[in-house]
Amino acid sequence: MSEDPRILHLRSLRQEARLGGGAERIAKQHAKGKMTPYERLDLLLDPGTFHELEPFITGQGDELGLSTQKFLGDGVVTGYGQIDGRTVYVYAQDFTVYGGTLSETQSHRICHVMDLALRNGVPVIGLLDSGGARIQDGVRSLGGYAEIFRRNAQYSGVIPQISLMLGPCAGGAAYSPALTDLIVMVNKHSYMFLTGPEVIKAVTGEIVDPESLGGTTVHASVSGIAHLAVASEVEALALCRRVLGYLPSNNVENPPFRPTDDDPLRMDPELNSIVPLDAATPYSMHAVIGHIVDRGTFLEIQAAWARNVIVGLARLGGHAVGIVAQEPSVMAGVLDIDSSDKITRFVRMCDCFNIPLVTFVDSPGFLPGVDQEHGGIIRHGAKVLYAYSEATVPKISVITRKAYGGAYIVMGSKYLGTDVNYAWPSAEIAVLGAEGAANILFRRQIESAPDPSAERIRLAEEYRRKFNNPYHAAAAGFVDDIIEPRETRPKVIATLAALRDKYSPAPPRKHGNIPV
Amino acid sequence: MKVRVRIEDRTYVVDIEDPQAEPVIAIVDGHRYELWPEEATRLPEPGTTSDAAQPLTTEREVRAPIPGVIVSVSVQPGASVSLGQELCVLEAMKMRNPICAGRTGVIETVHVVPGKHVQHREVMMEFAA
Repeated sequence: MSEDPRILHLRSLRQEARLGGGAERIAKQHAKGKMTPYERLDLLLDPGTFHELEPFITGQGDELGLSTQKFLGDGVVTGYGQIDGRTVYVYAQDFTVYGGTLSETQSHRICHVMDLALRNGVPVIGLLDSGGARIQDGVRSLGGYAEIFRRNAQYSGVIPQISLMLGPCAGGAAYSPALTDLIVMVNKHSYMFLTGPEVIKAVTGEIVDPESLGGTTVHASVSGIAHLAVASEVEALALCRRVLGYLPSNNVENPPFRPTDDDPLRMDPELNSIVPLDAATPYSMHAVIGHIVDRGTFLEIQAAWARNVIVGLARLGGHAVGIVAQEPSVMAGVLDIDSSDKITRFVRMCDCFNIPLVTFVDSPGFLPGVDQEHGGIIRHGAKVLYAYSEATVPKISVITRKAYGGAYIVMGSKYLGTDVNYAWPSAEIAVLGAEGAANILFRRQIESAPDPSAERIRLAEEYRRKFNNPYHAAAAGFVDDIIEPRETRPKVIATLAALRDKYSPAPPRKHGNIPV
Repeated sequence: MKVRVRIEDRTYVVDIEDPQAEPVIAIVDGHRYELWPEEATRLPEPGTTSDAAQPLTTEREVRAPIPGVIVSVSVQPGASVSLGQELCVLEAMKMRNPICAGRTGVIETVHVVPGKHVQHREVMMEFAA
């Protein structure tokens, strides 16, 4: 008995939808080392969990009749699936259909999964590969972008939104990711810019290639737009799965717990000799973090940008934490404009998603200089104050060495609302360095001494002895305890447990007015 | 300087004003092009701790990442250096910051001596092209 032709027709349509822009264009995409949306989703999601929504939709927005052909799905694949058994909603643009450009219909399809993700309190992941707005759709495609941007903004801090840049993403295609929590870029495959090389050439006469304008290297190390950069699409998809393991599905859940075989009581004797006796000799804060967190769990974010500070997700005793730290071996760990922005954004992401903050402080202060002041270091530094003060998640800080002046205050100091403050015996908590302090405090005494420079050295030494240790601050109640470096891991894990049920409601308001 | 570039069957005469400039200005058939040398920036592996002492941009110039005073200079012009090797030490913000080579190459010029104050982004050394 032959099959019902209506069912055969459905099957053939389904097959057609899976082919996107056709076999020839798929071959082209493969030749570039790029995958199709279905291939990407297969790698992103747990096997067999993807279910597509609206595969039969076709472009409706082209009133001028300029589109030569209609494609099922209209250049995007949307639906839901699972990552490590947790539901996520996804959309993946199809470069083989009108270069993945955004039509009105495509926007509706994307917004549909965004809305479903919000209603169900689960993450939405975008796989972007798009030339921008679809010109044939005119203003309708711009409206389509606006619909996506509005949702990106309104759902921000409610559900995690992750953008994987898997191709050129120009104009509006670059703005939506910028509104999401994390951007992953692939080296030599992803490009992001608002106006591409052609437009720049026409307007300003500058000749620039896509890679040096908005390639992964640029956004990972110069602009700071890429949070994570990887070498291949496959790695990007695997990394997205890994990142989600640190995030809750929404803002009222806690991040998933992952049991660890790294003993929570593990003391690390190497930490006791990591900070050099000479305060002017740098050491690696990356190494400090590596010794303290659950082995192999540190996932650094924006690793190549503003390297004088470190931000990243990790686990302590199996629980997700956000790590913020200065890196004394890069620019002495100073705070400047870029590093302030980097910290602020990360602290706010952690606060949105109930990820406790653990801050390691070693900073000589803010970077002096005309370019920093004129660049608005005041408002950028103020963001860090704002973000730490506003954050209601458990906050722990560990001062490893320098905590001077403004840098001490902003990096999670006690009266900024940090719940528990620890200091290593190497900590130096003061308004400014010993030489500078002696110069100001004892200027007359130094000037009138028979040997002013010897007197300056003597007074600086005296100041150093008095203030360049944590005991003075601890006596004043600014430090909760002074701990041996090797005790840090068990201490911080115990403290996190004691803060797990922290309840710290913010006063009702529409929203704050963070300096930007 | 003029260079002949052969692409498939055609030969182009490219007039380069200063090959060390950034951007390099190249004139071909009367058209002026600005070219930025590609930066061989290494991307740190996600999930691993990046080696913090390594600078990430590898341009020809070694620039001061922070204003400060040169404490010591470890290389002389003509020295071959490898990636990560210490070039000089810059004291700034109460710290002796080692400045390390972001690439392998030969140091052509050294503009700093111990005791010299350097500004933010000031060129301290230059690699041979």
